[in-house]
Amino acid sequence: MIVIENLQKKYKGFELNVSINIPEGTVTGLIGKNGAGKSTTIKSILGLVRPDSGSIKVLGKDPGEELDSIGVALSDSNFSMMLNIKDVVSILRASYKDFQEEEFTERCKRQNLPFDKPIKDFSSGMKAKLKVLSALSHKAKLLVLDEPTTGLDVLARNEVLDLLREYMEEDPSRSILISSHISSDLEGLCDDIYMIDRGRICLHEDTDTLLGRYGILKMSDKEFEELDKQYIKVSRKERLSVTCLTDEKQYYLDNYPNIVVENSSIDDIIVLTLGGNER
Amino acid sequence: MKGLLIKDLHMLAQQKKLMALYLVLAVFLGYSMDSSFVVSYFPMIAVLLAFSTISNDSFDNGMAFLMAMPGTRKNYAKEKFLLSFMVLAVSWVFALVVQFASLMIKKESFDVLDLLGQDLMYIPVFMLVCSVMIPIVLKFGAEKGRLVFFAIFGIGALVIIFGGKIADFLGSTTGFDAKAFISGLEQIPAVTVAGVMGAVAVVIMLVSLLISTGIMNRKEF
Repeated sequence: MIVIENLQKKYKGFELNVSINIPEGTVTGLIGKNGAGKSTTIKSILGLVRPDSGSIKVLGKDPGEELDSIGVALSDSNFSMMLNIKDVVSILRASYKDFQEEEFTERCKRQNLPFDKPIKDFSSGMKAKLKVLSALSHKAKLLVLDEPTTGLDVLARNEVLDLLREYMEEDPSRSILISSHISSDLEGLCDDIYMIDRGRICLHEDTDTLLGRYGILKMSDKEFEELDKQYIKVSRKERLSVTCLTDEKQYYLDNYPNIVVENSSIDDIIVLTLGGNER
Repeated sequence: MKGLLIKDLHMLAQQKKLMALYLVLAVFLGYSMDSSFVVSYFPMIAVLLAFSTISNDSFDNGMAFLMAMPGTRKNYAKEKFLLSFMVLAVSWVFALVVQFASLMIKKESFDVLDLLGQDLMYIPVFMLVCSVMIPIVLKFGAEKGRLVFFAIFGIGALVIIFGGKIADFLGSTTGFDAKAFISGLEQIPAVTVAGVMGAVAVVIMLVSLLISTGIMNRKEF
Protein backbone atom coordinates (compact mmCIF):
# COMPACT_ATOMS: atom_id res chain seq x y z
CA MET A 1 0.00 0.00 0.00
CA ILE A 2 2.76 2.42 1.00
CA VAL A 3 6.44 1.91 0.22
CA ILE A 4 8.84 4.63 1.36
CA GLU A 5 12.51 4.19 0.58
CA ASN A 6 15.05 6.59 2.05
CA LEU A 7 12.69 9.55 2.11
CA GLN A 8 14.79 12.60 2.88
CA LYS A 9 13.52 16.05 3.68
CA LYS A 10 15.62 18.82 5.16
CA TYR A 11 14.36 21.82 7.06
CA LYS A 12 16.40 24.30 9.06
CA GLY A 13 17.57 22.33 12.11
CA PHE A 14 15.71 19.15 11.15
CA GLU A 15 16.37 16.31 8.78
CA LEU A 16 13.95 13.49 8.01
CA ASN A 17 15.32 10.21 6.68
CA VAL A 18 12.91 7.27 6.84
CA SER A 19 11.97 4.03 5.11
CA ILE A 20 8.56 2.53 5.81
CA ASN A 21 6.65 -0.35 4.27
CA ILE A 22 2.92 -0.77 4.87
CA PRO A 23 1.56 -3.91 3.22
CA GLU A 24 -2.05 -4.59 2.30
CA GLY A 25 -4.35 -5.50 5.17
CA THR A 26 -2.28 -4.03 7.99
CA VAL A 27 -2.80 -1.33 10.57
CA THR A 28 0.49 0.45 11.16
CA GLY A 29 1.14 2.86 13.99
CA LEU A 30 3.59 5.75 13.87
CA ILE A 31 4.70 7.03 17.25
CA GLY A 32 7.18 9.63 18.36
CA LYS A 33 7.58 12.88 20.24
CA ASN A 34 6.30 16.19 18.90
CA GLY A 35 8.57 17.37 16.10
CA ALA A 36 10.00 13.86 15.54
CA GLY A 37 8.89 13.83 11.89
CA LYS A 38 5.51 12.03 12.01
CA SER A 39 3.53 14.78 10.31
CA THR A 40 6.22 15.42 7.68
CA THR A 41 6.20 11.71 6.85
CA ILE A 42 2.41 11.70 6.58
CA LYS A 43 2.38 14.87 4.48
CA SER A 44 4.99 13.36 2.15
CA ILE A 45 2.76 10.31 1.67
CA LEU A 46 -0.12 12.60 0.71
CA GLY A 47 2.00 14.69 -1.67
CA LEU A 48 1.62 17.81 0.49
CA VAL A 49 5.36 18.00 1.05
CA ARG A 50 7.93 17.18 -1.63
CA PRO A 51 10.86 14.99 -0.56
CA ASP A 52 14.39 16.16 -1.33
CA SER A 53 15.29 12.58 -2.28
CA GLY A 54 14.13 8.99 -1.96
CA SER A 55 11.02 7.36 -3.33
CA ILE A 56 7.43 7.06 -2.15
CA LYS A 57 4.79 4.85 -3.73
CA VAL A 58 1.23 5.01 -2.47
CA LEU A 59 -1.16 2.41 -3.91
CA GLY A 60 1.47 1.89 -6.61
CA LYS A 61 1.47 5.54 -7.70
CA ASP A 62 3.29 8.74 -6.82
CA PRO A 63 2.02 10.66 -3.77
CA GLY A 64 -1.03 12.80 -4.46
CA GLU A 65 -2.17 10.74 -7.47
CA GLU A 66 -4.57 8.34 -5.75
CA LEU A 67 -6.24 10.67 -3.26
CA ASP A 68 -9.70 9.42 -4.22
CA SER A 69 -8.76 6.07 -2.64
CA ILE A 70 -7.27 7.54 0.54
CA GLY A 71 -9.18 8.68 3.61
CA VAL A 72 -7.30 11.47 5.34
CA ALA A 73 -7.47 13.05 8.79
CA LEU A 74 -4.76 15.57 9.63
CA SER A 75 -3.94 16.71 13.15
CA ASP A 76 -3.81 20.44 12.45
CA SER A 77 -6.07 20.86 9.45
CA ASN A 78 -9.75 20.42 8.74
CA PHE A 79 -12.61 21.73 6.61
CA SER A 80 -12.99 25.51 6.78
CA MET A 81 -14.39 26.51 10.18
CA MET A 82 -17.07 28.58 8.41
CA LEU A 83 -18.76 25.49 6.97
CA ASN A 84 -21.31 23.20 8.62
CA ILE A 85 -21.93 19.47 8.15
CA LYS A 86 -24.60 20.06 5.49
CA ASP A 87 -21.95 21.95 3.46
CA VAL A 88 -19.41 19.20 4.15
CA VAL A 89 -21.85 16.58 2.79
CA SER A 90 -22.25 18.44 -0.51
CA ILE A 91 -18.46 18.96 -0.80
CA LEU A 92 -17.71 15.28 -0.12
CA ARG A 93 -20.43 14.23 -2.57
CA ALA A 94 -18.83 16.34 -5.29
CA SER A 95 -15.27 15.30 -4.44
CA TYR A 96 -15.32 11.51 -3.94
CA LYS A 97 -16.69 8.97 -6.42
CA ASP A 98 -17.74 6.52 -3.69
CA PHE A 99 -19.03 8.93 -1.07
CA GLN A 100 -21.49 7.05 1.15
CA GLU A 101 -23.85 9.88 2.00
CA GLU A 102 -26.43 7.91 3.93
CA GLU A 103 -23.83 6.12 6.04
CA PHE A 104 -21.94 9.37 6.72
CA THR A 105 -25.02 11.33 7.83
CA GLU A 106 -26.17 8.39 9.93
CA ARG A 107 -22.79 8.18 11.69
CA CYS A 108 -22.76 11.96 12.26
CA LYS A 109 -26.21 11.72 13.83
CA ARG A 110 -25.10 8.80 15.99
CA GLN A 111 -22.18 10.90 17.23
CA ASN A 112 -24.60 13.81 17.94
CA LEU A 113 -22.81 16.14 15.55
CA PRO A 114 -25.00 19.16 14.72
CA PHE A 115 -25.70 19.63 11.00
CA ASP A 116 -26.45 23.37 10.96
CA LYS A 117 -23.79 24.66 13.34
CA PRO A 118 -20.53 26.03 11.83
CA ILE A 119 -17.53 23.81 12.58
CA LYS A 120 -15.89 26.70 14.48
CA ASP A 121 -18.54 26.23 17.19
CA PHE A 122 -17.80 22.49 17.56
CA SER A 123 -15.96 21.18 20.62
CA SER A 124 -12.50 19.74 19.90
CA GLY A 125 -13.97 16.24 20.30
CA MET A 126 -16.68 16.96 17.73
CA LYS A 127 -14.09 18.31 15.28
CA ALA A 128 -11.97 15.17 15.75
CA LYS A 129 -15.00 12.91 15.14
CA LEU A 130 -15.93 14.81 11.99
CA LYS A 131 -12.40 14.38 10.61
CA VAL A 132 -12.45 10.62 11.17
CA LEU A 133 -16.00 10.20 9.83
CA SER A 134 -15.06 12.17 6.70
CA ALA A 135 -12.00 9.96 6.18
CA LEU A 136 -14.22 6.86 6.51
CA SER A 137 -16.95 8.22 4.24
CA HIS A 138 -15.84 7.14 0.77
CA LYS A 139 -14.76 3.50 0.88
CA ALA A 140 -11.06 4.38 0.82
CA LYS A 141 -8.52 1.59 0.31
CA LEU A 142 -6.13 3.31 2.66
CA LEU A 143 -6.61 5.54 5.69
CA VAL A 144 -3.91 8.01 6.66
CA LEU A 145 -4.73 9.41 10.07
CA ASP A 146 -2.52 11.89 11.89
CA GLU A 147 -3.42 12.03 15.60
CA PRO A 148 -7.10 11.23 14.95
CA THR A 149 -8.01 10.64 18.60
CA THR A 150 -6.54 13.86 19.98
CA GLY A 151 -9.18 15.82 21.88
CA LEU A 152 -11.50 12.85 22.35
CA ASP A 153 -12.58 11.51 25.74
CA VAL A 154 -12.11 7.79 26.53
CA LEU A 155 -15.60 6.80 25.35
CA ALA A 156 -15.39 8.76 22.11
CA ARG A 157 -11.88 7.37 21.50
CA ASN A 158 -13.19 3.84 21.83
CA GLU A 159 -16.04 4.62 19.45
CA VAL A 160 -13.56 5.95 16.87
CA LEU A 161 -11.31 2.91 17.30
CA ASP A 162 -14.34 0.66 16.85
CA LEU A 163 -15.15 2.50 13.61
CA LEU A 164 -11.59 1.84 12.42
CA ARG A 165 -11.84 -1.86 13.33
CA GLU A 166 -15.18 -2.02 11.49
CA TYR A 167 -13.52 -0.39 8.48
CA MET A 168 -10.86 -3.11 8.43
CA GLU A 169 -13.41 -5.92 8.91
CA GLU A 170 -15.46 -4.71 5.90
CA ASP A 171 -12.51 -5.34 3.57
CA PRO A 172 -9.40 -7.02 5.00
CA SER A 173 -7.27 -5.81 2.07
CA ARG A 174 -7.52 -2.23 3.35
CA SER A 175 -4.72 -0.61 5.34
CA ILE A 176 -4.42 2.12 7.93
CA LEU A 177 -1.45 4.30 8.85
CA ILE A 178 -2.19 6.02 12.13
CA SER A 179 -0.04 8.30 14.24
CA SER A 180 -0.97 8.86 17.84
CA HIS A 181 0.35 10.07 21.16
CA ILE A 182 -2.04 7.74 22.95
CA SER A 183 -0.22 4.43 22.96
CA SER A 184 -3.15 2.43 24.34
CA ASP A 185 -4.99 3.27 21.08
CA LEU A 186 -2.16 1.75 19.09
CA GLU A 187 -1.76 -1.33 21.32
CA GLY A 188 -5.31 -2.44 20.67
CA LEU A 189 -5.42 -1.58 16.98
CA CYS A 190 -2.05 -1.81 15.22
CA ASP A 191 -0.37 -4.84 13.69
CA ASP A 192 3.01 -3.14 13.73
CA ILE A 193 4.52 0.04 15.04
CA TYR A 194 7.21 2.40 13.77
CA MET A 195 8.84 4.67 16.33
CA ILE A 196 10.35 7.84 14.95
CA ASP A 197 12.82 10.10 16.72
CA ARG A 198 14.61 13.18 15.37
CA GLY A 199 13.66 12.24 11.83
CA ARG A 200 14.87 8.62 12.00
CA ILE A 201 13.01 5.35 12.51
CA CYS A 202 14.46 4.09 15.77
CA LEU A 203 12.25 1.03 16.19
CA HIS A 204 9.96 -1.12 14.04
CA GLU A 205 8.25 -4.19 15.47
CA ASP A 206 5.05 -6.17 15.32
CA THR A 207 2.78 -5.08 18.17
CA ASP A 208 2.53 -8.68 19.38
CA THR A 209 6.33 -8.86 19.63
CA LEU A 210 6.49 -5.53 21.44
CA LEU A 211 3.92 -6.62 23.98
CA GLY A 212 4.95 -10.30 24.19
CA ARG A 213 8.74 -10.43 23.91
CA TYR A 214 9.80 -6.98 25.00
CA GLY A 215 10.17 -6.37 28.72
CA ILE A 216 11.53 -4.01 31.33
CA LEU A 217 14.45 -5.10 33.51
CA LYS A 218 15.24 -3.40 36.81
CA MET A 219 18.50 -4.03 38.62
CA SER A 220 21.32 -2.52 40.67
CA ASP A 221 24.40 -0.95 39.07
CA LYS A 222 26.45 -4.01 39.96
CA GLU A 223 23.92 -6.41 38.41
CA PHE A 224 23.86 -4.24 35.31
CA GLU A 225 27.64 -4.42 34.98
CA GLU A 226 27.47 -8.23 35.08
CA LEU A 227 24.46 -8.48 32.74
CA ASP A 228 24.71 -10.06 29.29
CA LYS A 229 23.65 -7.09 27.21
CA GLN A 230 23.14 -8.77 23.85
CA TYR A 231 19.33 -8.42 24.06
CA ILE A 232 19.32 -4.99 25.69
CA LYS A 233 17.87 -2.34 23.37
CA VAL A 234 18.29 0.67 25.67
CA SER A 235 19.10 1.33 29.29
CA ARG A 236 18.45 4.20 31.63
CA LYS A 237 20.52 4.96 34.71
CA GLU A 238 18.43 6.08 37.63
CA ARG A 239 19.54 7.19 41.11
CA LEU A 240 19.90 3.77 42.70
CA SER A 241 19.19 1.38 39.88
CA VAL A 242 19.29 0.77 36.14
CA THR A 243 16.21 0.18 33.98
CA CYS A 244 16.62 -1.60 30.66
CA LEU A 245 14.42 -2.44 27.70
CA THR A 246 14.93 -5.89 26.25
CA ASP A 247 13.47 -7.58 23.21
CA GLU A 248 14.02 -11.04 24.80
CA LYS A 249 12.55 -10.87 28.28
CA GLN A 250 12.34 -14.68 28.51
CA TYR A 251 16.14 -14.93 28.21
CA TYR A 252 16.55 -12.75 31.30
CA LEU A 253 13.73 -14.51 33.16
CA ASP A 254 15.53 -17.82 32.58
CA ASN A 255 19.08 -16.65 33.28
CA TYR A 256 18.83 -13.84 35.83
CA PRO A 257 16.40 -14.88 38.55
CA ASN A 258 17.48 -12.02 40.84
CA ILE A 259 16.62 -9.10 38.59
CA VAL A 260 13.08 -7.76 38.20
CA VAL A 261 11.56 -8.53 34.80
CA GLU A 262 8.26 -6.82 33.96
CA ASN A 263 5.98 -6.79 30.94
CA SER A 264 6.37 -3.58 28.96
CA SER A 265 3.62 -1.36 27.64
CA ILE A 266 4.16 0.78 24.55
CA ASP A 267 4.40 3.80 26.85
CA ASP A 268 7.32 2.13 28.70
CA ILE A 269 9.00 1.39 25.37
CA ILE A 270 8.54 5.01 24.25
CA VAL A 271 9.90 6.41 27.51
CA LEU A 272 12.92 4.13 27.50
CA THR A 273 13.67 4.27 23.80
CA LEU A 274 13.30 8.01 23.44
CA GLY A 275 14.66 8.90 26.87
CA GLY A 276 17.27 6.18 27.52
CA ASN A 277 20.93 5.59 26.55
CA GLU A 278 21.09 3.38 23.50
CA ARG A 279 23.19 0.20 23.86
CA MET B 1 -13.08 21.07 -9.15
CA LYS B 2 -16.79 20.78 -8.51
CA GLY B 3 -16.12 20.11 -4.81
CA LEU B 4 -13.93 23.22 -4.55
CA LEU B 5 -16.53 25.36 -6.28
CA ILE B 6 -19.31 24.10 -4.01
CA LYS B 7 -17.11 24.79 -0.97
CA ASP B 8 -16.47 28.36 -2.12
CA LEU B 9 -20.13 29.02 -2.87
CA HIS B 10 -20.99 27.79 0.63
CA MET B 11 -18.26 30.02 2.06
CA LEU B 12 -19.57 33.03 0.13
CA ALA B 13 -23.08 32.25 1.34
CA GLN B 14 -21.73 32.61 4.91
CA GLN B 15 -20.97 36.25 4.08
CA LYS B 16 -24.61 37.07 3.28
CA LYS B 17 -24.67 40.16 5.52
CA LEU B 18 -21.59 41.63 3.89
CA MET B 19 -23.01 40.95 0.42
CA ALA B 20 -26.35 42.54 1.37
CA LEU B 21 -24.45 45.62 2.55
CA TYR B 22 -22.58 45.78 -0.76
CA LEU B 23 -25.86 45.49 -2.67
CA VAL B 24 -27.42 48.35 -0.71
CA LEU B 25 -24.26 50.39 -1.26
CA ALA B 26 -24.37 49.66 -4.98
CA VAL B 27 -28.01 50.77 -5.25
CA PHE B 28 -27.23 53.93 -3.25
CA LEU B 29 -24.16 54.78 -5.32
CA GLY B 30 -25.94 54.01 -8.56
CA TYR B 31 -28.72 56.37 -7.71
CA SER B 32 -26.83 59.19 -5.98
CA MET B 33 -23.63 59.37 -8.06
CA ASP B 34 -22.75 59.18 -11.72
CA SER B 35 -24.64 56.03 -12.74
CA SER B 36 -21.61 54.49 -14.52
CA PHE B 37 -19.64 54.51 -11.24
CA VAL B 38 -21.64 51.56 -9.90
CA VAL B 39 -20.56 49.39 -12.88
CA SER B 40 -16.90 50.20 -12.29
CA TYR B 41 -17.04 49.87 -8.52
CA PHE B 42 -19.47 47.11 -7.54
CA PRO B 43 -18.00 44.14 -9.50
CA MET B 44 -14.54 45.07 -8.19
CA ILE B 45 -15.75 44.93 -4.60
CA ALA B 46 -17.59 41.66 -5.31
CA VAL B 47 -14.52 40.01 -6.79
CA LEU B 48 -12.55 40.90 -3.64
CA LEU B 49 -15.05 38.66 -1.84
CA ALA B 50 -14.13 35.84 -4.21
CA PHE B 51 -10.42 36.42 -3.47
CA SER B 52 -11.22 36.24 0.26
CA THR B 53 -11.99 32.52 -0.18
CA ILE B 54 -8.25 31.97 -0.75
CA SER B 55 -7.36 33.47 2.63
CA ASN B 56 -10.25 31.56 4.24
CA ASP B 57 -8.86 28.32 2.76
CA SER B 58 -5.48 29.07 4.33
CA PHE B 59 -6.95 29.98 7.71
CA ASP B 60 -6.15 27.46 10.49
CA ASN B 61 -3.83 25.60 8.10
CA GLY B 62 -6.93 24.41 6.20
CA MET B 63 -5.07 24.28 2.89
CA ALA B 64 -3.28 21.02 3.85
CA PHE B 65 -6.56 19.16 4.32
CA LEU B 66 -8.02 20.69 1.17
CA MET B 67 -5.00 19.62 -0.90
CA ALA B 68 -5.34 16.06 0.44
CA MET B 69 -8.66 15.78 -1.42
CA PRO B 70 -8.67 14.39 -4.98
CA GLY B 71 -7.82 16.78 -7.81
CA THR B 72 -7.71 19.90 -5.67
CA ARG B 73 -4.06 20.86 -6.19
CA LYS B 74 -4.37 20.55 -9.97
CA ASN B 75 -7.64 22.47 -10.17
CA TYR B 76 -7.31 25.00 -7.37
CA ALA B 77 -6.11 27.95 -9.48
CA LYS B 78 -8.58 27.12 -12.28
CA GLU B 79 -11.43 27.09 -9.78
CA LYS B 80 -10.43 30.46 -8.30
CA PHE B 81 -10.51 31.99 -11.80
CA LEU B 82 -13.88 30.39 -12.49
CA LEU B 83 -15.31 31.60 -9.17
CA SER B 84 -13.98 35.13 -9.76
CA PHE B 85 -15.58 35.26 -13.20
CA MET B 86 -18.87 33.92 -11.89
CA VAL B 87 -18.89 36.59 -9.19
CA LEU B 88 -17.84 39.23 -11.73
CA ALA B 89 -20.59 38.24 -14.18
CA VAL B 90 -23.35 38.25 -11.55
CA SER B 91 -22.22 41.54 -9.97
CA TRP B 92 -21.69 43.21 -13.37
CA VAL B 93 -25.23 42.29 -14.47
CA PHE B 94 -26.59 43.51 -11.13
CA ALA B 95 -24.67 46.79 -11.46
CA LEU B 96 -25.98 47.18 -15.00
CA VAL B 97 -29.57 46.75 -13.81
CA VAL B 98 -28.96 49.34 -11.06
CA GLN B 99 -27.43 51.74 -13.61
CA PHE B 100 -30.29 51.44 -16.12
CA ALA B 101 -32.94 51.64 -13.39
CA SER B 102 -31.28 54.70 -11.91
CA LEU B 103 -31.11 56.47 -15.30
CA MET B 104 -34.76 55.66 -15.97
CA ILE B 105 -35.90 56.84 -12.53
CA LYS B 106 -33.91 60.05 -12.95
CA LYS B 107 -35.45 60.32 -16.47
CA GLU B 108 -32.05 60.88 -18.06
CA SER B 109 -31.75 60.13 -21.75
CA PHE B 110 -29.15 57.55 -22.80
CA ASP B 111 -28.13 55.41 -25.75
CA VAL B 112 -28.43 51.74 -24.70
CA LEU B 113 -25.76 50.43 -27.09
CA ASP B 114 -23.31 53.18 -26.25
CA LEU B 115 -23.78 52.65 -22.54
CA LEU B 116 -23.46 48.87 -22.89
CA GLY B 117 -20.26 49.35 -24.86
CA GLN B 118 -18.80 51.52 -22.10
CA ASP B 119 -19.89 49.04 -19.43
CA LEU B 120 -18.41 46.14 -21.39
CA MET B 121 -15.03 47.84 -21.32
CA TYR B 122 -14.86 47.31 -17.57
CA ILE B 123 -14.96 43.51 -17.94
CA PRO B 124 -11.44 43.16 -19.43
CA VAL B 125 -10.18 45.50 -16.71
CA PHE B 126 -11.72 43.27 -14.03
CA MET B 127 -10.30 40.18 -15.75
CA LEU B 128 -6.91 41.86 -15.69
CA VAL B 129 -7.24 42.53 -11.97
CA CYS B 130 -8.06 38.83 -11.41
CA SER B 131 -5.13 37.78 -13.61
CA VAL B 132 -2.74 39.90 -11.55
CA MET B 133 -4.26 39.21 -8.13
CA ILE B 134 -4.83 35.44 -8.17
CA PRO B 135 -1.18 34.39 -8.75
CA ILE B 136 0.02 37.07 -6.31
CA VAL B 137 -2.32 35.91 -3.52
CA LEU B 138 -1.47 32.24 -4.22
CA LYS B 139 2.24 32.99 -4.11
CA PHE B 140 2.47 35.49 -1.25
CA GLY B 141 -0.74 34.86 0.73
CA ALA B 142 -3.64 37.27 1.27
CA GLU B 143 -1.81 39.83 3.46
CA LYS B 144 1.30 40.31 1.37
CA GLY B 145 -0.84 39.88 -1.77
CA ARG B 146 -2.93 42.89 -0.79
CA LEU B 147 0.23 45.00 -0.40
CA VAL B 148 1.48 43.94 -3.83
CA PHE B 149 -2.00 44.70 -5.24
CA PHE B 150 -1.97 48.24 -3.81
CA ALA B 151 1.59 48.77 -5.03
CA ILE B 152 0.61 47.80 -8.59
CA PHE B 153 -2.47 50.02 -8.54
CA GLY B 154 -0.44 52.82 -6.93
CA ILE B 155 1.96 52.66 -9.88
CA GLY B 156 -1.07 52.68 -12.23
CA ALA B 157 -2.49 55.74 -10.46
CA LEU B 158 0.88 57.53 -10.72
CA VAL B 159 0.98 56.82 -14.44
CA ILE B 160 -2.49 58.39 -14.82
CA ILE B 161 -1.66 61.40 -12.60
CA PHE B 162 1.61 62.09 -14.35
CA GLY B 163 0.26 60.95 -17.74
CA GLY B 164 0.63 64.44 -19.28
CA LYS B 165 4.26 64.76 -18.20
CA ILE B 166 5.04 61.22 -19.37
CA ALA B 167 3.45 62.03 -22.76
CA ASP B 168 5.54 65.23 -23.03
CA PHE B 169 8.68 63.32 -22.08
CA LEU B 170 7.95 60.63 -24.71
CA GLY B 171 7.27 63.35 -27.32
CA SER B 172 10.56 65.18 -26.62
CA THR B 173 12.72 62.05 -26.46
CA THR B 174 11.21 59.72 -29.07
CA GLY B 175 9.00 62.01 -31.11
CA PHE B 176 5.99 59.83 -30.30
CA ASP B 177 2.84 61.97 -29.92
CA ALA B 178 1.05 60.09 -27.15
CA LYS B 179 -1.74 62.66 -26.80
CA ALA B 180 -2.66 62.41 -30.49
CA PHE B 181 -2.50 58.63 -30.21
CA ILE B 182 -4.96 58.64 -27.27
CA SER B 183 -7.35 61.06 -29.01
CA GLY B 184 -7.17 58.73 -32.02
CA LEU B 185 -8.17 55.83 -29.75
CA GLU B 186 -11.14 57.83 -28.48
CA GLN B 187 -12.56 57.88 -32.01
CA ILE B 188 -12.78 54.07 -32.07
CA PRO B 189 -16.26 52.81 -31.07
CA ALA B 190 -16.48 51.65 -27.43
CA VAL B 191 -17.61 48.13 -28.44
CA THR B 192 -14.50 47.67 -30.65
CA VAL B 193 -12.21 48.88 -27.86
CA ALA B 194 -13.99 46.51 -25.45
CA GLY B 195 -13.48 43.63 -27.92
CA VAL B 196 -9.75 44.31 -28.38
CA MET B 197 -9.27 44.78 -24.65
CA GLY B 198 -11.23 41.56 -24.08
CA ALA B 199 -8.96 39.58 -26.40
CA VAL B 200 -5.84 40.97 -24.71
CA ALA B 201 -7.34 40.23 -21.27
CA VAL B 202 -8.10 36.61 -22.28
CA VAL B 203 -4.48 36.07 -23.37
CA ILE B 204 -3.16 37.62 -20.14
CA MET B 205 -5.63 35.53 -18.15
CA LEU B 206 -4.47 32.28 -19.79
CA VAL B 207 -0.83 33.14 -19.01
CA SER B 208 -1.84 34.00 -15.44
CA LEU B 209 -3.72 30.69 -15.12
CA LEU B 210 -0.60 28.80 -16.22
CA ILE B 211 1.54 30.70 -13.72
CA SER B 212 -1.02 30.18 -10.92
CA THR B 213 -1.27 26.43 -11.62
CA GLY B 214 2.55 26.25 -11.54
CA ILE B 215 2.59 28.05 -8.18
CA MET B 216 0.07 25.57 -6.73
CA ASN B 217 1.96 22.56 -8.11
CA ARG B 218 5.20 23.70 -6.46
CA LYS B 219 3.67 24.71 -3.15
CA GLU B 220 4.07 22.68 0.07
CA PHE B 221 1.42 22.52 2.76
